[in-house]
Amino acid sequence: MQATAPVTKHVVYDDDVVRAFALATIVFGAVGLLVGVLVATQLSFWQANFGLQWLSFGRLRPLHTNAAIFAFVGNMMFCGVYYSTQRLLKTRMASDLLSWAHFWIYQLIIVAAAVTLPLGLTQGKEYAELIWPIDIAVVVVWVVFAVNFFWTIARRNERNLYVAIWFYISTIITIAVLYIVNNIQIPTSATHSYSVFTGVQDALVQWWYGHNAVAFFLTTPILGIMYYFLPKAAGRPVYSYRLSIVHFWSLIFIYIWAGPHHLLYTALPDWAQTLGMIFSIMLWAPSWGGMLNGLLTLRGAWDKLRTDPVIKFFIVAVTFYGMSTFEGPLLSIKSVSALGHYTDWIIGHVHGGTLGWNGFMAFGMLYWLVPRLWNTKLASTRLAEVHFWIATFGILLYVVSMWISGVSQGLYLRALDTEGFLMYPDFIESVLASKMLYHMRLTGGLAYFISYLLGMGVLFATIRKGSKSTVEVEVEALQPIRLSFLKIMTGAPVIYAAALVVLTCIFLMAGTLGTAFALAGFVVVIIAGALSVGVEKTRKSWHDMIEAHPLSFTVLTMLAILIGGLAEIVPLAMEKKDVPALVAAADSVWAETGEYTFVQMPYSPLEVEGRDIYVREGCYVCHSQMVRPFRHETLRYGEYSRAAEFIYDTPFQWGSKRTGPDLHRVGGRYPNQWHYLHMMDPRNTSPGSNMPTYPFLAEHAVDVSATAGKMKVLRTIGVPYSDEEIAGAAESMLSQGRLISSNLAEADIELAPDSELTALIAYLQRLGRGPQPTGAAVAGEVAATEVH
Amino acid sequence: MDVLMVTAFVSLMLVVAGVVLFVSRARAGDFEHGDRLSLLPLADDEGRDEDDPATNDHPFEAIVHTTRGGPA
Repeated sequence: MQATAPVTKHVVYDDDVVRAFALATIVFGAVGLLVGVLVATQLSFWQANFGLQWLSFGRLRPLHTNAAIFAFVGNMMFCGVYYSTQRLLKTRMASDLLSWAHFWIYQLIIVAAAVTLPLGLTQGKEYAELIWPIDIAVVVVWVVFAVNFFWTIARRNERNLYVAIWFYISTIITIAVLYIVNNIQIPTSATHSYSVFTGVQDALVQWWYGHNAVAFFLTTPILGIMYYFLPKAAGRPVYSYRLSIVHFWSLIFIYIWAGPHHLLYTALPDWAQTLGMIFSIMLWAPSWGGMLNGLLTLRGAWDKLRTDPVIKFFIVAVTFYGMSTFEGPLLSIKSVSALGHYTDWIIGHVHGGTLGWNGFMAFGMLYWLVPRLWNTKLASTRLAEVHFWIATFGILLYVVSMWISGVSQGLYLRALDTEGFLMYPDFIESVLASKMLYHMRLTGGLAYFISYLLGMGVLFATIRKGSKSTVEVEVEALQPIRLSFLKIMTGAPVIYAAALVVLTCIFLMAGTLGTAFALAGFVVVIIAGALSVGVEKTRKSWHDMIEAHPLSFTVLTMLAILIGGLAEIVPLAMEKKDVPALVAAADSVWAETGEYTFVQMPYSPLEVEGRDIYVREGCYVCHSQMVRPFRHETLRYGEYSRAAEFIYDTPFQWGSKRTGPDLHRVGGRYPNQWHYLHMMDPRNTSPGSNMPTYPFLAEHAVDVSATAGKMKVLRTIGVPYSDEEIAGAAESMLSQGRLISSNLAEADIELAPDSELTALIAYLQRLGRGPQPTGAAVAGEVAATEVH
Repeated sequence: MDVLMVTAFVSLMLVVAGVVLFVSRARAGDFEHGDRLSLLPLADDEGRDEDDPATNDHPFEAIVHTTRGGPA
C-alpha cells in the first residue's frame, strides 16, 4: 500500500481582527475602571452623585459591572480566542466578514449599553441589565462568533483540538444557553420588557445565569487563554495534559450546578440551596487542579518570574484564580454565607476575580501579544514592572479593605445583646463603621486604575513604534478523519458516566424500591469499572478520538452543562401556577359569605409604575428584598420572607448587597412624609447615609398611557388582572396618587399625584405586606385605604 | 438519620465510581496521547520579520510581513 504524500497549505493568519480586539480591550478596560473609580467615590462621598440622575450610583454600578465583564474581559477574550484558535488549528479564521461583523456589532452593543444604562433603561437583573433590543443584538453577535468559530474548526489543519479550544467550545455553548433562557421576556415598549419568570423561578434562573456568566465568560475562556499563552510565554508545555482533561470535564460539569449558592437562606426551596452549596464545595477540586496545572507549567523556568513582566502578570493572575476559587466555595457554605452574604466581603471576592484573575491575565496576554502583533519589542519593560507592582498593591488594598468591611458588617448586623436584642439596631451604624474602609477601597481602586493607565501608555508606545505584521505559515493539510459519531458516543466513559447520572436520578426521585435499585446499580457499575481496569490498553484512546471529532466533543460538552441546569430549573418551572385560581376562589367565597380570604394580591397600577421606577433607579444594587430566617434579621426588618409573596414580582428584586437596609418589610413601617424626606435627601432621615438624592423623581410625571399595556403583559405572565382593572388603570393610579398627595399635604408637602415619587412611595408602602384580604371590591378598597 | 446514611453512601459510591472511571481510563491509555498535543502552543507561529535580519538568526516556521500604517 502506497503512503499518500503530505499536502502542504499556505496559511496567512488574520491578525487584523486580533489587533482590533486588543485595542478595544485596552480602551474599554479604562472606561470600565474609570466608572468603577467613580462609583467607589460615590460610596465614600455621596456628593459624587452630583445630583444628576444619569450619574447616580444605582444607574452607574450596572454600567461598571457590564463594562468590566463584557467590554473589558469580553474583548480580551475574543482577542485571545482569535489569536490562539488560528494557531492551534493551523488555519485562518473561516470568514473575515464574520470576524469583522463580530467585532463591530460587539462594539456597537457596548456603546448601546453605555448609553442606555445611565438613562435608566434596564431589565433590573444583575449582569443581565441590557434591554431587549440589545439582548437580540447580543444573540446575533454570539451566533456570528459561533458560526465563524465552528466553521474554522471544520477547516482546520490539525487533527486534535487542543485543551484551549475545549474551553472555548464550552464558553460558546453555555453562554448561548444561559443568555437566551435568562432573557426570555415580553416587551411592553421599544425599551421595556418583563421577564417571563417571576419570583423564586426568576431568582433561580437569574442566578443560574449570573453565576455561570462568571463561570463561562470570566473563567472558562480565560482558562483556555491560560492554557495557550502561559506555555507560550514560559517556553514550556503545559504541566500535565492529562490533568487538563480531568480539569475540563469536571469543571464544566460541576460549575453549572453552583448558581443557587447566591440564594442561601432565601425563599428558594431548601433542596436547591443544598445542591448549590454542595456543588460549589466540589468545585474546589477542579478549580485548584487547573490552577496547579497553570502554576506548575513554570517548572524549571521560575527564574523568568524575576525578569519577565508577562510571567509576573500570569502567575499573579493564576494565584488570584486559586484564591478566588478557594473563597467562592468557602462563601457557599451556608453558615459562612449567613455572615458574608449581602456584605462587602462579596464585593472583595468578585474584584479579586475580575481585577486579579481577569485583569492580570489580560495584561499578561497583552504584554506578550502586542509586541508580536506590531512586530516590535515592548516599549518599556521597566514601566510594565511598575504597572505590575502598583496594580498588585491596588488590588490587594481593595480586597483586604472589603474583606474587613464585609466581615465587620456581618458581625455588626448580627450582634445581639445578653437579652437577645439587637446590639446595633440602626443599620446606619454598619455604614458608618465601614466609612474608612470605603476610603481604603477607593485608594486601592484608584491605584489599580493609575497602573492601568501606565500599562495603556506602555502598550500604545509599543504600537506606535511598531508596524502591523502579517504572519504566513506552511502547514501540512489535514487528511480526512474517519471516526464514527455513534462509536464515540457509545464509548465506555460515556456509558459509564451516563449510568452514574441515571442511577443518581433514580436514587433522588424514586421511592424505597428505586433507592434499593439505585444502590445495587452503583455496586454493579463500580465492579464493572473495576474489572475493566485489568483490560489491556485499547489501540486508540477514546479521548483522542473525541478531540478529533468536534461534533462529538460539542454534544458531550452540551450534555455536561445541561444536566445541572435542567436538574435545578425544571422542577421549579413545573410548579403549578394556580394563583389566579386561588384569587377567583377567594372572590367567590367573599361573594357568597362576605368573608375575606387572604391571598397574595397583584400590585395596583400605581404600584406597578412605582416598582418600575425602583428597577430603573437600580435600588436593588444597594437594597435587598429578602429577610432571611435569622433572629437578628427578623428583629431588624420584620417577619422572614416567604416564596408566595413574590409570585407577581418580575423581575425579582431580592438583591445581592446591602449597602442600605433590606426593604422587604418597609411597607407601612414609616409614614409617607418619611419616604418623601428620605428620597429628597436621605441625610434628612438617616444622618451619615451614603445614598444619592432623588429630587428629580418629584419633578417627573409617570407615563400613565403605558400602564395598561404593562398590565396586559403582566397578565400574560400570570398576574390575574381583570379587563376592568386594566381599563381603569389610569383612573386607579390617579385615585391612589391623590390619597398620597393629600396625606403629604397635611405636612405641608406638595407632591403631584402623578409624580414618579408618588408612584415609588406607593410601591414602597406596599412592599412586604404579604397576603391581603381579597374579594373583587375589597382589593381596591384595601389599596386605597392602607396608604399612610 | 436513614436518609443521611443513604445519602452519604451514595456520595461515597459516586466518589469510588469516579476514581474507578479515572483509573480504568488511565489504564486504557486514554490520557497518553497528549505528549505531542501539549507542545502545540510552543510552535513558532508568531514568526520573524523578513525585513529585519536581526531576527533571522535561527530558522522559523513562520514569516512575518510588516506593513507601515495605522495601529489596527
